[in-house]
Amino acid sequence: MPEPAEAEARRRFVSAGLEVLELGAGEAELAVIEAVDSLYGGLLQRLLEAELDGVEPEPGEDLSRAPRTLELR
Amino acid sequence: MSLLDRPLREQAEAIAGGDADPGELLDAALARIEERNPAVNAIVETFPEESRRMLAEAPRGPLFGVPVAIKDEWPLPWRAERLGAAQHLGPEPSAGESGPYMALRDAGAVVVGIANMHEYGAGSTGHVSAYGPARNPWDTERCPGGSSSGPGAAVAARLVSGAVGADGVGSIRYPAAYCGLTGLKPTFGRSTMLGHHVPQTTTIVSGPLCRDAADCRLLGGVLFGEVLAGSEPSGLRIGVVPGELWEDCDPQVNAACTAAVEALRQAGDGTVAELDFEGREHVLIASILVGQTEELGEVTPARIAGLTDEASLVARALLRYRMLIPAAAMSKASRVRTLVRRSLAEAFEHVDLLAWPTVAAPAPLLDNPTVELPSGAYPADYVNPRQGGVANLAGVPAISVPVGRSSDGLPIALQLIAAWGRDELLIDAAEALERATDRVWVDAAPPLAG
Repeated sequence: MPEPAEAEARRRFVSAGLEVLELGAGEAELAVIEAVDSLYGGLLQRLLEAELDGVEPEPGEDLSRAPRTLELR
Repeated sequence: MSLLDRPLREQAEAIAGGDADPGELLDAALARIEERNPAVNAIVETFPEESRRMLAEAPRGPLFGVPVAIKDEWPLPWRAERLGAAQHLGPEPSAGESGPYMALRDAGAVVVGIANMHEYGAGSTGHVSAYGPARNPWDTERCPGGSSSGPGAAVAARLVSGAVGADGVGSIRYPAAYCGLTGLKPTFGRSTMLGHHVPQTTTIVSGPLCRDAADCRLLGGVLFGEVLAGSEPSGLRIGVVPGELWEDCDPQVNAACTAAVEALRQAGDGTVAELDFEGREHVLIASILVGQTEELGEVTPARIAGLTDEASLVARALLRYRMLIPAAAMSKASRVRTLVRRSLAEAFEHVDLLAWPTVAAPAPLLDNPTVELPSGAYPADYVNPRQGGVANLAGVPAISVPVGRSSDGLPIALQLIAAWGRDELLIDAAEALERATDRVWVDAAPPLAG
């Protein structure tokens, strides 16, 4: 669960974001969004903070096959 | 025993051998649906005239005269898909010949009904649908799994012996696990996807939900457009991934799956080794980000705002939340995908299969779809992608095999994952596991179908 200050910041982010999109949300919808964000917000934040600089792009990614770089190794 | 209670292949053999009349089997399936479906809400629509027309025109293929169900995710010539939803997010869908429909038709099968699904395919439980939730035949107060909830409940309730589902973040394997079935998520791109409403998908595949592995071989082969050869696996090298995929599971699930891995090792004179892959800590969020945003290209704020309360509250809220996901997160998820694919490719140089529980706990209650795990209580929808998402993220095939029963009598399932294109190995391994456990888990019928 996020800290209270973080939770409040995320609540403001959601409200402001929806306002920018001119996408209204009722109290019930906001409550569900808050509950979902309390589960996934931390994972999302950790993903954003992840150091993935060393992961080189996969040329010609083909999900039906193993990564090409490994096949050509 | 009614032929309806026999596996798909035995139905096909009986008809091909002249021992059964396909018209009578179709009538029996329609009558069974009428009688038993109200308890499980697995089939949301039948169309006897179209089914009889399919039978009348059916070629003598491998599924000649066999009734099957298809998830509400695929258009038919007489019916557009509705995705378990009352309102569409994108353009109005139209009726047509989808790939799975054509594959079934060309194999001689008869589509007998449309199977329920979790609304918009956006859940792993099946407890939300415009048709009302499908119910688990093992306990109708519990979730059948999703998003292919109807295919799972229909096969487990013995309404049909095989159904076509779709799997974008585990959506075939969760219902297979909750309902005690065998469900195959094929290698990405190997099964037909023609006519799907997300044509640009990089995660979703069509696939079979059946009573056992041999039926998955048959129905999977039809969807692949090829014969899936079988062989006896020997010297199987099984990789067991450390950490939460095993440890943060219901203890009964962990015990049954551990015993199943050992049974499979012994059956194939194989080995079991601990083996990890990189990026695992981000798989849950990355698979959701990739899998659940592929169709956002057709979604606009106005379309979301236009959803009425005919769409579920959760769907209306989740769609709003998805519109706020930072672009950087999608880019990061893509990097995680690359990392996981490379790491899995290396892993599959050392092992043939990776194994862990399909779902961390047995089917939760429909009115409270949460699961109790060693680390706490969570919505099943939150935990399930941790177990199932990696196969979609990487494109590799995976199969869910029933391997036990909880103290509540609910099915427990093991997931096996193989390298790209090795779908046949998964089916071979599932069959070996069935033999090693005397088929006790695949032949069991829920009380409702007993």
